[in-house]
Amino acid sequence: MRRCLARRLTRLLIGVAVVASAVTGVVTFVNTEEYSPVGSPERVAERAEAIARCERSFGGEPIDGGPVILGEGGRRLSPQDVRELCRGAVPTDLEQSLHLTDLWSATGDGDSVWAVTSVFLGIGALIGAASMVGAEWKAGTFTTLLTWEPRRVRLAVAKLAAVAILAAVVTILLQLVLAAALFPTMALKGTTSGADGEWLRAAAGGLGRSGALAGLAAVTGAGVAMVGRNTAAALGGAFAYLAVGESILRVWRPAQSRWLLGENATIFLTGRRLQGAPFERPVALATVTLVGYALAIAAAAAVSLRSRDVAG
Amino acid sequence: MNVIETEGLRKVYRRLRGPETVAVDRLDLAVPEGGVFGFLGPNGSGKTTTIRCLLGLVRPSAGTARLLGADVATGLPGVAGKVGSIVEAPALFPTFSGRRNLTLLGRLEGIGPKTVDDALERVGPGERGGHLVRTYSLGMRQRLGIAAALLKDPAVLVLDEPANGLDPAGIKEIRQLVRRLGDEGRTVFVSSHLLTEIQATCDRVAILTRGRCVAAGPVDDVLSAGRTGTMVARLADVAAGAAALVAAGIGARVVGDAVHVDLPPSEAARVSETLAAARLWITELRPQAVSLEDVFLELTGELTGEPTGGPTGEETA
Repeated sequence: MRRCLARRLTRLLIGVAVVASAVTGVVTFVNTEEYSPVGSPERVAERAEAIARCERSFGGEPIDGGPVILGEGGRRLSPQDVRELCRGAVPTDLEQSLHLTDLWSATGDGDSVWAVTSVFLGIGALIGAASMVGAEWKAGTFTTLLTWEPRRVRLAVAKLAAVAILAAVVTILLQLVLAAALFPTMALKGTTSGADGEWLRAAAGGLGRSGALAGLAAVTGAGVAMVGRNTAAALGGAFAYLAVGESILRVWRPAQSRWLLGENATIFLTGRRLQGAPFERPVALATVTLVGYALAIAAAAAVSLRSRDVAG
Repeated sequence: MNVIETEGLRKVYRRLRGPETVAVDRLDLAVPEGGVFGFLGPNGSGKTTTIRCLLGLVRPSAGTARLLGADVATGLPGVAGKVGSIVEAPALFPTFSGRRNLTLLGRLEGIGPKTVDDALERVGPGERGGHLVRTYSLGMRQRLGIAAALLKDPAVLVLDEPANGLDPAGIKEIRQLVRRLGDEGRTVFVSSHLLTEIQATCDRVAILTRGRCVAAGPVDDVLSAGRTGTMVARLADVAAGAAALVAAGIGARVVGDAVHVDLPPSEAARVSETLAAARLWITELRPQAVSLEDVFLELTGELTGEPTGGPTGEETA
């Protein structure tokens, strides 16, 4: 772990994350409007304008001679019906201040702050772990370690466990740093409304899953680097698969996309079934799938280290 | 007891394209306990591959290797704590200090900071132990590598080309250190292609060429193997001296300003007596020195024209 933390790339990634959190905190504070429970006059006017825009999109006042709008069962919509429809469609809460509950949505909203940053932190964990293992092969320190600990499987497991734990802990800490950076905005301009015990449990769970996801990403990156004995191989392989391979599979075989990393990671992170997906995937199964993939890569890494010569 | 043994050790590197490379070929080696054992061979002769086989880093294609009585293939973890090693250049974390590197390695064997400090003080970079390894000179890295190898207080020390890349002062320092470690009762197995290094530090030697051991034993025995021994005599009239010796039935010839006598050093009195009887007074009489270099070139040269079927190609590890 110390070796990993001492790496320049690890420090750079953590540094970038901390600076980005600080900048986000400042920018958010400056650009966020103060929360008003009854809605500011600007917001009331904005909502009225949005409803009017919605009504106009139906062709203006649905008077005789205008476009015929049909509702359920072929019933022609009255002006009142259109108005009701638009009022329902335009959100009632248009205010844009930041609330504590925006950090993590108790309903599994994938747009919550921690859910979005989890993606970037997971990628960072994958890069950092792959780089660490690749650099060890390049520097030859694996050879030195093997002359001290010849049990190669044990060594591989220790390395992978170390990067997983480190990635998980660093991710959770960075998420908390981001929360701390956003806290002044929430405290002074937003609200803590809704942040009850239930939310706190959901947020803690989300934070834990964010850390776990980073840990699994780190195992994946380090495992592939251990097999390829090279950082570039790990990063190239991982990104080719994630960016190209999964995209192709998603379009080519939508029903089979329940096996893809992206879908399972989203379900695991949010703790909810995926909305609008052409398959049903329980959270537990998504979790098992992700852990299974990481364990398979870890096993491949251990077998590779055990069976191949260390001749360079 | 032999602390290092190989029997029929063979390592073949196969490639997807191109011919296979035999790095080590049916190598039989026996290194007795204690002292400094030199493993001599030209570059690419299979020294490093043999060491990697002994340390379990590469798997032999055939044959067996034993370290402290344990079969390397199955029993290495049981003896690894008693074996210190450097394979090629010491590979340590460049962004850590020397002390931190040793501390991290020491933790694998439960070795405390005092032992680390002692090792640094004894052979390591001393007061620069707190500096980053990347700021060390090659010699300091080499010493740090030896300090790391000594952390375990090993019974066997395997050093692969420990003087590689060092300046003359550094080579001398490492040579003295290796000799000292051998005198402490440890077994130091040191590979090198530097003949003078081996001759100056080792008690026993094995000469490797193209993956095969072509000579092994105590350094003096290897030097004198197959030689009857000759002496060099100096005197005022070398021609008369040579004639007197030949007249007495002793083979002799003039070479430069000396007489080369075809008798072993144990027959020195006979030479002296013969020349004195002819009223020729010798100013110097000494055994003719045979250097390891001569032996090495002779032995490794013997195989140069050998037909293939034996070891081929260069060492790749």
